Order: sequence, then C-alpha cells, then structure tokens
Amino acid sequence: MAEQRRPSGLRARLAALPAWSRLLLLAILVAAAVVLSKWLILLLLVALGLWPIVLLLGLGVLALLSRGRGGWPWMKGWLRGRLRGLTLPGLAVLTALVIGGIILMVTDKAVFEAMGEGKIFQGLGLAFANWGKAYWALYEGALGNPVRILTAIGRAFSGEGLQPLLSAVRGPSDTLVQSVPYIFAGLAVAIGFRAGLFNIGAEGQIGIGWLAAVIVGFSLKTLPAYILLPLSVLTGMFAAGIWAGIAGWLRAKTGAHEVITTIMLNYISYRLSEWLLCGPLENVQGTCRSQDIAEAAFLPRFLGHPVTVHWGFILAIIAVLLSAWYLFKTTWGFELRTVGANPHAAKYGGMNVAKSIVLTMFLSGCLAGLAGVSQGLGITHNIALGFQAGYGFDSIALALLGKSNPVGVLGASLLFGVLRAGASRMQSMAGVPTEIVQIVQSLVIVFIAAPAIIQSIYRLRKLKREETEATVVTRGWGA
Amino acid sequence: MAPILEVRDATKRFPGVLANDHVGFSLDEGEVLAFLGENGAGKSTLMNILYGLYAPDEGEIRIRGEKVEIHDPNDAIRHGIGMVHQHFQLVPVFTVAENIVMGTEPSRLAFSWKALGGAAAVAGVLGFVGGIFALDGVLRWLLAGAVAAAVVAGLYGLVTLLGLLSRRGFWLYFGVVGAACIALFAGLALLLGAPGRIPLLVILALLFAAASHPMLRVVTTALDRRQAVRRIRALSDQYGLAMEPEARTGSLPVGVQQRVEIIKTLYREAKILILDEPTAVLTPQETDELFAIMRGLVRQGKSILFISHKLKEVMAISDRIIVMRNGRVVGETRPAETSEEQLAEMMVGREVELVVAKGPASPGDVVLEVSGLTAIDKRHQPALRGVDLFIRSGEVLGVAGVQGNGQTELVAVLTGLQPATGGSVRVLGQDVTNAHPRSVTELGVAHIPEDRQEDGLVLSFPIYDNLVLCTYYEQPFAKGPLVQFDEIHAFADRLVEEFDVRTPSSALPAQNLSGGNQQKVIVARELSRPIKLLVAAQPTRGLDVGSIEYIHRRLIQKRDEGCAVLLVSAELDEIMAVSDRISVMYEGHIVGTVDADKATREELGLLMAGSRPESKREEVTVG
Repeated sequence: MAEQRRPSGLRARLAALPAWSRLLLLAILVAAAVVLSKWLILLLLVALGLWPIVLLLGLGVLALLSRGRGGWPWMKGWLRGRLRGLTLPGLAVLTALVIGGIILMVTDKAVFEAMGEGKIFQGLGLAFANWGKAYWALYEGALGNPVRILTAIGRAFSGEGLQPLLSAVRGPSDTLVQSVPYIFAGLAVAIGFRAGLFNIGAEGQIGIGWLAAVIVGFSLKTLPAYILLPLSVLTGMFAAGIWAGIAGWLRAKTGAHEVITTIMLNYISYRLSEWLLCGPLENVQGTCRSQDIAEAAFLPRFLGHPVTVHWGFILAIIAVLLSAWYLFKTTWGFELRTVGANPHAAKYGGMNVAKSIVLTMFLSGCLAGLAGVSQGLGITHNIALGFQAGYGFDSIALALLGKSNPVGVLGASLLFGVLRAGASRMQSMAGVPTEIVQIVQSLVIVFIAAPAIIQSIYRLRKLKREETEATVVTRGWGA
Repeated sequence: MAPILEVRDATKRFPGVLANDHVGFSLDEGEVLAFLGENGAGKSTLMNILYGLYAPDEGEIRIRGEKVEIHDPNDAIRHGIGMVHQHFQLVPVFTVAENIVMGTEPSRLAFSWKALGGAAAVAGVLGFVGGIFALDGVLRWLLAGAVAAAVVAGLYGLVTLLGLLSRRGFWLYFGVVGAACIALFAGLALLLGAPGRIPLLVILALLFAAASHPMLRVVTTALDRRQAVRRIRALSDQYGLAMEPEARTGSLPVGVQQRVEIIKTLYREAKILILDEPTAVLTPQETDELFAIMRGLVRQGKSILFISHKLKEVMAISDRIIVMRNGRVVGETRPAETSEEQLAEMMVGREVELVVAKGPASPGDVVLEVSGLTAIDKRHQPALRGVDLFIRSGEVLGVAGVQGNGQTELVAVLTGLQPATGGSVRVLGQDVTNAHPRSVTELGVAHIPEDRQEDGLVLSFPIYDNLVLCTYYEQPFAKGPLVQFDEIHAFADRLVEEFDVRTPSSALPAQNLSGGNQQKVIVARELSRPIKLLVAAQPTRGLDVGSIEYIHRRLIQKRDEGCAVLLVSAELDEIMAVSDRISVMYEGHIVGTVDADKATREELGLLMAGSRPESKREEVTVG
C-alpha cells in the first residue's frame, strides 16, 4: 500500500513557484541574513541563555499548530515521536552528570578530612555545597545567568548600550564557539562511519588543516580579505582532505585498515607541526608559535568582546546542512551509505567501492580540517604547539552519540560545547578541576555505547531496535 | 499414557495479525511431530509461545497432563523444553563448552577441596606479604596470613555450602558478611583506639560485602567449567553427537554448530526438543546426519517438534505431520497416509504445481557464450578449470551439481563480481570478461544472487532503496546527482503490488520481510527492467512451496518472453522442473549436458558425483 505523503501547505506553495523565483527568494533571504547577522547571532545567544522561555514559546507555537490537526493527541504524538530518540541520550547525560557530581563530592580534600575526623554530617554538607557551587558554575559558564541576561536586556533598552548584554551572554557565546570544532570533527567521523570507515585521524587532520590555513593566512598578507579568507579556508580544507585521502587510498588499494593508517598519520602530523612550529615557522624564539595571520584572513566575529562567536559557526551550520543533503538526497550519498551498510551489495549494485572509500575519507578529512581552520582563523589567529585539544578523539564519541546523523552530531556537539564552556568556568569559580567534565563526557559515551546499563538502572522496557541499533563502526581487518 | 505435551486453544494476536488462532495439538513421548506451513503460517509463533518468548493471549499448555505457565525461557527449560533456533544463538569467539554453559552459572556449587585450598593459599600469601609492610614481628605476619586465609575459606564455605551464589542469595550473603565485617572492623578500630574512624570503616565493610559476592561468582564459575566439559563429553558420547568442547565455535562448520545447539538443550535436561527449520542451513549430507541424530535422540526417549516447510524431509523423518495455514491447524496426518502434493495443497490452500507447467522452448540466437573459463576461489584454489557453455534466447539452461564444484565462482565471473584468470565470456557478441558489474548490468544482464542477504539486499535500507539498488543513478530515479524520491516511491509501490511482496509499506527496512518476500524484492528488481540474460543462483533457497511456485513461474515467463535464463541450483528437482537443457558441473568442469526431457535423476546423480553413466549420454553440440 502506498504511503500517503501530503506536503504541508507552505511546502506545497513553495514548490509551486517557478525555479527562478525560488532562487531569488533564497538569495534575498541569504542577503538579509548576512546584513542582519550581528542581530541574529545576538538573538540566538539570548535565546540559548533564556532557553526555558524559548521552550515555552515553542510549546505554545506547537499548541497553536495543533488546533488545525487534532489538538492535544496530535501534539502528544508529535512530541513523543520527536523525543523518543532522545530518551537514551537524555538519561545518559543525566546519569553521567549525577555520577560526575558524586565523584566531585568525594574527591574534595576538605570532605575527606571532615569524614576522617568523624564529622559525617559536616562532611556531607560540605560535599553537597561543593556540588551545588560547581554545577552552578558549570551552568553559568555554559548558558549564562538568566536573571543577569534579562536585566542586561533592560539596560540595553534604557540606553546603556549592548556591553552589559554582551557580558551576560558570554556563557552561550563560549558554548557556541567551543562547539564549532566539535561539529566539524563530529561530522567528519560520522561521514566515515556511514561508509563503514573508522576515521581516528581527525586529530591529525585538524592539525594539518589548521597549519595550512594559518600558513596561507600569514604568507599572502597583501591579498584582500575576500580572496585571502576563502583561499585560506579552502587550502586548510583540502590539505586535510588529502591527508585523510592517503589513508583512504591505502585502504582501497591494499586493504590496509584505516584505523591503523589514520593513527599513524596522526603521529606524522604531530611531528610535522612540532618541527615547523619550533623551527622554520617559529616567530619568537622559544615560543614554538607561528606569526599571526593577516587581519584579512580572520574569520570575522559578529559582536564585540567578550562574545567571540565567529563566522566559523555559520560555516559549521552550513556543513551540517550540506552533509545531510549529500548523505540523503544525492546519488553519491546513497553510494556512500550503501558501501557502509553492505559493501557486497554495493559491489553487486555496480558501485565502485574503492572510489567511494577514497572519496569518503577525503570528505571526512576536509570536514576535520575545517575544525582546525575555524580555530586557527577564528580564535587563535596563529598556530602554537599544543594546539591539539583532543577534539579529534572526542569527535568519535560525538559521532556515536549523534548516531552518525548530521543533525544528531550537531546536537551532541552543542552538548559537548556546553560541557567544555562550563568546565573552564567551573575551574575558575569553584576550583573544580576540568577533568571532572572529561569524566562526565566519557560516562556519556559509555552509557550510549552500552544502553543496557541505562535500561537496567531506570528499568526501562526494552528500547526499540531502532533506538539501540549499533552504528557500524568499521569492518574487517585485511581485505 | 498421557501425551508429554499438549497445547489447547493457543491464540496470539499482534497488531493487525492473528498469528495463532486457537491452535491445539498433542505430542507423545518418543515421537517426531513435524509442523509444516508457509512462512507466516504461525509455526514459529507457536514455538515461541512454548519456549516462553511470547505470552499467549488465550490457551493452555499441559506437560504430562499438568497445566503449566511458561513466562520466559527459563521456565520452559525447567519444564524440559529446549529449542534450537533457525538462527543460532552462539557466540563465535567462545569455545563450544563456554557456549553450552552460558547462562547456567550454578547457584549451588559442589564443594571442592582443591579450590578451597588454592584460594586459601593465595589469600594466605597475600596476607603474609601485606603483613610485612604493615606490622612488626614474624608472628604478626603469620597472623595476618592466617586471618586472610580463614576469611577466604569462610566466605567460600558460605557460598558453596549454603548455595548463596544466586541473586536472591546475594542479599543474605550481603547481610551476613556485611554484619560480620562491620563487627570485625569496628572491633579493630576500638582495639586500636580510633573510634572516630568507625563510620568510614562501616562504609568500607559494606562495600567489601557488596563487591566480594560478584567476584566469588566469577571465580566459582570458572572452577565449574571443568565439570561442565566433563559433562558435555558424556552427553556427546551418549547421544552420538561428536564434538570437541574446547574448539572455537566460530570456526566450526554449520552442521557442527547445530549439534552444539542441540547439546545446549540436552545439557539443560530437555525432554522435548523444538527444532526450528534446522535443515535450512545444512547441505544434503548434513541433513542426513541430522536425521540420524534425531532418530538417536528419539531412541533415548526424547520427543521432537520439527518445524519445516520442506515436504520431502517432513515425509522422511516425521511420525506425524501437522499442517498450519494462516495461524490455524488445517490438517493432521501421517507420512504413510499422504503425499507431497496433498501436503502442499493443505499448506497453500489450493492446488500447487510442484512441478511448474511449461510449454516447449523456442530458442533463438546465442545470448551467452563461455569458453575455457578459469577462475580461483576464495582460498586461491582453482575453482573453474575451463568451462564451456552457451545459452540461446528463449531457453533455460540449468547448471546442476553439488555445492562447492565451482557454481558460485561461475556466477560471480559471469556477472563481473570476480575476475577470471583465463577464457572468455561473451554476452550478445560483446566480450565482457572481467568487465565491471555495472557494464554487465547495462548490457541487459540480471542477477539473482545466491546469498540474498549478503549480496542482494541492504537489509537496513528501506524496500524502495533496495528496489533501485542497481538503477538508482539512471533517469528517472535521479536527475544528475539528485535523487528523485517521488519516482522511486511510485516505482516501488508498483513493484510491490505487481510481484505480491507482502508488506504494509515500501518504506520498511528489508530486514523486516520474510525470506520469501526478500527474494521477491530481488526478483522484482531484476525482472522489472528489460533484460536479455537472467542469471539465477539458488533462487529458491530457503523458500516455502508457494514462493517457489511463484518464482519458477516467473522464470518460465521470462523465458517465454525471449530472455535467456541460466539457473544454477543444488536442488535437482528444481533443475529438472524448470530447465530446457541441463549441464552438470563437477570440480570446475562441465561434465555433461543433456536435454531436460531426456534426463533421468540417476544419470544426473552420477554426473554430479563425478562418474560417467553407463548409458548413452546425449551430447548437444553448438550449432
């Protein structure tokens, strides 16, 4: 029986317009977005900080929509359908936070001393106070203080300017900024997984991309921004893509497993950058840091200090949309997914499996390279030793969390961005080491990888097969 | 004598489907009762109810006349019911012994002096060593060692003698050991003059009590393994199921893996064995071995429920046959009182052509010409040693032979999936030796693969994606790189209807379909484009009578439309029914080609076994 697919009213009306007018409409929208970008980003940051209000508004909109479609039952069904996939990740995060909190509580020296002297209740009180202070700092560092945001909005309207508001949304801004490299790297690994390839080389590819982009950025200082910036971005992207493509080519030609080759390429990348940064590219002796890139090569920031959100964020969103389009709406994406799901059937269907493998690794490397590019051109404006911050390895967890789906990766990246942004504030405000957040991140990964743990803790009935479907991570060693 | 098993009015409803409709039957002791039915008839559902995997909506189960409730497989096992599933539930990296004892970790362990001595010795040494660092004086070291050994011995005794290894026993153990530890540590603390540390020590004591229980479970389970291996060998000898308990399960052939599954049930003292489609994965020789094992089990007093849809086997092995259709029992009979045709009619509900009706062939020009083809197999051994054959349009060439004589490699080379090491393949006059699969497809060659799940389908993809697996890049399914979903959905809906694929929607993943319907998807995909040559490898493997009839009719239909058909099959009946000419492959050669209407089973059987028949062989030469 054919499924009835009724296009919604708006989509049908849009589809009815001739192609040129649709393109014109798109162009107008894009131009408007660029012109208003400053305000749109500010609005996004405020919305993140005031997320409970946004949530209520969203529910309100949903309630309005439901009036034409069957009221409360429709709304309940819609919510249940959309949120079902979030049960496991949601509970995983919650449990990880709780366990992280417990570890936090029991690793405080003061608590130990209190307990050791027999002052149990005092010790417990201290532990809980720590926990509260730390997690509040985590929240504030990631999403800001809603009250402060609201008063800052008031002050902005009463003529004091934007500065108080910018300071108030520093949390959400850090979150978005921290999530950008995660988004790129997560997409890189996710695309690999979709093709049955395990790209552990994201870390090295990020480095290559960062290096290449920064080198172009400070070498061609005379070029104007509209040439230099795209050139730097593309150079970084392709350099990393080729780096990953090496592993893909080896896998396709010789069967050398990409897990091994990408890790080895990581090491080559680290040593290469070490040599360059402490040698030929070193700017000031002893710093192992390159010179700064030309201003023309900066990824522009939208607002002033301390909001550091830069155009890399927009690139990341575009990357998510393009990845989703590529994977699910093109024949190339179909080939990629088929090779991942069943390479025998792919070969049977006439697909060139070797070509798919190389192309996929190249695309994966490009995306990972963009993570480095966005950090180099948007945040640090140079490259220094120790730039590796583990994004490449965390991104594996992100791809798993997001079930190798671009939108899922976006959500997981934002989550990790929240945790990272909050972690630094947690350290400065509550004196809690950032490793606690790493523990939380790791626990989230464990719970996602072994859903049975969450199931048994919360006595959930068996999660449906689709929800616990194992992502194909990689295939056989050798041929 | 009361039947060992009796089921009355078993009913099971799923959303939209009445899987079992007041099904009733009885099984006598020492009997082989076969359940026959198409896919979807309800046989597996009924067995899952017996094994506790489903709860029946209505009905009752009686074992030796007593009503029983079976809520989960453990209940079923306790009542002596064991099940060997169609898809084995073995862990490939475990040894045979580990697979068999998995899940039966004992709650009561026989006491073993050796184990006690060993554990106490280890504890004693550890205590001694610890004492060196913590205390002064030789006596104190010895005291530490003795205390540790005593504690371990005490715990071991608790666990083995009181049988506290089960989950319920855990709480008792936790209580006793926790209380003992608290008392001990508190006493020590008071003795050493540090009463303030007691709360901390209480927490430590409870943690120790909680953590030591699972550790003891692990240790004692490991100790139990040797007992298990001994028991497995005994069972293996008793029932004539030869196997090596320490072998790695993944490396065993399918027939032996099935024996492991059978021993699993015998290890748990099953009296009633349910075998779900056991012959689906076996070669003919392995099937004969299985039947011998089944007769042996019956002689030793077991009763067997045998699920199948293969008429010949059911007639060969069973004492009684129950036929199911659409969730109901539609017939009960004995092999001596019925025939394959009658059984097929009961299964499908109408007369079934077991041998498809076909008119004479009218062959035209040569479509496929193979000369001197050589190729190697996966183990780099020669598989094709110079194969010559030809097929004309409008005729069916059946390639018969026992599996493993090069048929798989022949099909792979013809369709471009494997390179040839020599010789040539020409399709419609064009040389396609070692061509890319896509160019072979584009010449008008269709391929129904031997392994539908591995080669023919992407199980996790929706049906509509599978239907365009070979053609997704062509118009109208794609405009350039952009996928045209509407076209694909419309195409899929049309094919699902035309080829009678039983599914509520073409958007479901292919893995939701039954084997027969999966094969129909592949057949639909291949037959829905204009083709000149159809290569069908084992096209009806694992399918029920109705689906087999359907596919045979389609193959003949294609032949009558002028297509050339190459049918490779290990089922001699299928070859003889469908083909116009029959070639027999043996060890990589074609050892004989005969006209189908002049061929006899004996002649073909001899050729398949590698010997030439005494009688005249008809030779068909290329015109």
